[in-house]
Amino acid sequence: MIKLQKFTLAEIPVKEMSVLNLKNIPMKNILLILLLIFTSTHIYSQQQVYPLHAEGDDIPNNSYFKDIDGELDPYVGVWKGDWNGKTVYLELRKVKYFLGINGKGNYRDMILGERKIINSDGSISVDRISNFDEQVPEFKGIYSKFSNPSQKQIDFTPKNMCRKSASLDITFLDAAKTQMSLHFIYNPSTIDNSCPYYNLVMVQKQDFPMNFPKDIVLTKQ
Amino acid sequence: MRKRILVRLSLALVVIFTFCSCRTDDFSNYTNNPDDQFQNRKFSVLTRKQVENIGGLIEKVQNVENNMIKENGADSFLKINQDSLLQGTLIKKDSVLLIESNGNETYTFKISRSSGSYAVENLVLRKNADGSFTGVLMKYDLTKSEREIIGLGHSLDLTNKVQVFPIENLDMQARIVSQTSGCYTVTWETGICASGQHSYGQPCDLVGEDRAGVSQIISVSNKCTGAAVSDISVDTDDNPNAGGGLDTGVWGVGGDGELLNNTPCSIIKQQNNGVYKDKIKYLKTKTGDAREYGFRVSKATTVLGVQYQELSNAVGTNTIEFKFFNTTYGAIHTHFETLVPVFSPDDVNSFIGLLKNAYNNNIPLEEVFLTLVNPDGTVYQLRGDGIDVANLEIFSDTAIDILNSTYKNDTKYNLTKANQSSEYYQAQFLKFMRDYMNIPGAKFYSIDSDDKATEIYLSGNTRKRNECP
Repeated sequence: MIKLQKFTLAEIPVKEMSVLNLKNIPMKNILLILLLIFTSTHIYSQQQVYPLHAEGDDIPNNSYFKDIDGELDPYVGVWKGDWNGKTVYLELRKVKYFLGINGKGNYRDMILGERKIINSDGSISVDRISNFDEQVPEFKGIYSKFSNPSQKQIDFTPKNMCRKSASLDITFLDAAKTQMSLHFIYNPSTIDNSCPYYNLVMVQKQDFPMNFPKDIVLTKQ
Repeated sequence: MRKRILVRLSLALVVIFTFCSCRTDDFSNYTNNPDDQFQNRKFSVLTRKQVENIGGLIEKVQNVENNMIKENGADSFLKINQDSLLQGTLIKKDSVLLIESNGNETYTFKISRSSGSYAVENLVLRKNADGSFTGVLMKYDLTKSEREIIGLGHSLDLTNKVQVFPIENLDMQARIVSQTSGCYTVTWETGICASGQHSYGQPCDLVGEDRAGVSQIISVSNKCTGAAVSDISVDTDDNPNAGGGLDTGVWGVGGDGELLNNTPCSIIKQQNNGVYKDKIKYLKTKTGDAREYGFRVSKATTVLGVQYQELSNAVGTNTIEFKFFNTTYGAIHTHFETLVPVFSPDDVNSFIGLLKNAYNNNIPLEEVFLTLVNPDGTVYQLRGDGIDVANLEIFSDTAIDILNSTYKNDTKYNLTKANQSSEYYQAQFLKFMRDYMNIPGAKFYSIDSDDKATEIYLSGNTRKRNECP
């Protein structure tokens, strides 16, 4: 048994300090010390887990907001729908995602998504599912709509679109949650002439080439 | 105390007087021996009561106020001779600089402008022999540190910082300046905005090809002997004998006895008049539309100083055009009903962009602001005080994408929680900004319907208020 005695550094005689080395401590006690250090460090650094909707200022950095009740599970899967002769695939995954930047933030169970669009002639116009990007995917959610909290939404931020994004109202259409509708709403944004679509949008008053339907019903595959 | 102030002012005047001539190449001639510049001049600061006792002066100023200061709105037709130079100005009569020289009296009034112009502006009136007044508007584009330098009584090279605007209806009949240096008095025609060279409301350029015409020296006399040393006599002015120049200086920067008070609060207070207020009023009528509206705010080349340009909108895509010009330093925009009634990550990034733009174009950083008008009636403004812009970076597209997700999804901040008080959104936004988009020196203001501004800040995680005086 190790007998601990409280010292301040100044109280330790120089002579005694010189013998404070591992050679004078039995091996089993060294292992015990290492175990204690490891355990205490592990306990201290253990990630705090909170329910998905927990809120509060005292939640420490790097906490984990976990989908304890599995409310996100119905969204998970590959969803398919038709739009103007095209076939839309949307793969949604539940991922423990780090929400934050520069190492500061919290982990959270989120629904991430990527899409695949197949034209009527069978050619593929977009396929991000094959290389699903779990760091910066095109779809991220699920959250409550600000103006109608019972309505769930997921954000759609297509690549190379001058940061143009949309919020999609996402609604299950049946009790079994095998069908869902998506309703597309543009988020406000700014644009300048450095955007390649500046003329299209601001001069010709056309839509961004988002290549995604404004409204669609998807069926779980 | 007053004597010291006047001594400081005198030193500042060393560099100012020369610019009454719209010339820069004469500058070096008059700065070698500052004492010579002022040996024949007497400086006084007049109170309002003293101003009222000077025959005709206060009446002239009131005449300017009543008939010439241009106004927008229903009552504007009541004013005759409205002068675009004076649009939205407020002439301050409590602290007026009087400079007496060779029997001439020049009165310098501080001017504030409702458009929120940050330049130092003065109305300078010279009393003519016949009792009439000649007037010009002097505009000094100075940074905060430059104002401090002048306020402390140090000399400052004002090249390209001074603009002179003759006021038509103030009977600017003479453009003659006399300058005494030692025994010698040099008299010359200034060429200020000579006829046909500059349209009304445009300043004289001090340098470059477009500057006012080359000054013509009229005479050089030795005042010690009274003899004319030379008489070049190139008299281009209709009435050279009415000359004598305008003795004035930068009035209203601190060295005149006022405290330097260019705090964000004082700037907001000045801003909440006139044109800016009209824009806010207009935008408040637009928050019911399902799209954003806004104005880009830029420095203008005219005397009005500020240009508000409504941002065009691609309605179907909810996109507004927002390009920074090298004169842009502010923006006002709306949020509509379905948006969180506080700044978004994109808004904060735009504020950083405005700061960087101002920094890169030598616009005083304390001028930079971003205003948000919300459907719930709240009006917020981000503005800076001592921000280290050189070490500030605009967030990348990827970072903003993640920050937008954090803003919407992280329930620790819960910014998208509906039906909360404005205080809730203020506090949660400040926590979010502190943790993810911190801009040291940036301040967040709430401006109520009575135009009262209050700084909202965090102490720990507690929201605090600090009302502007």
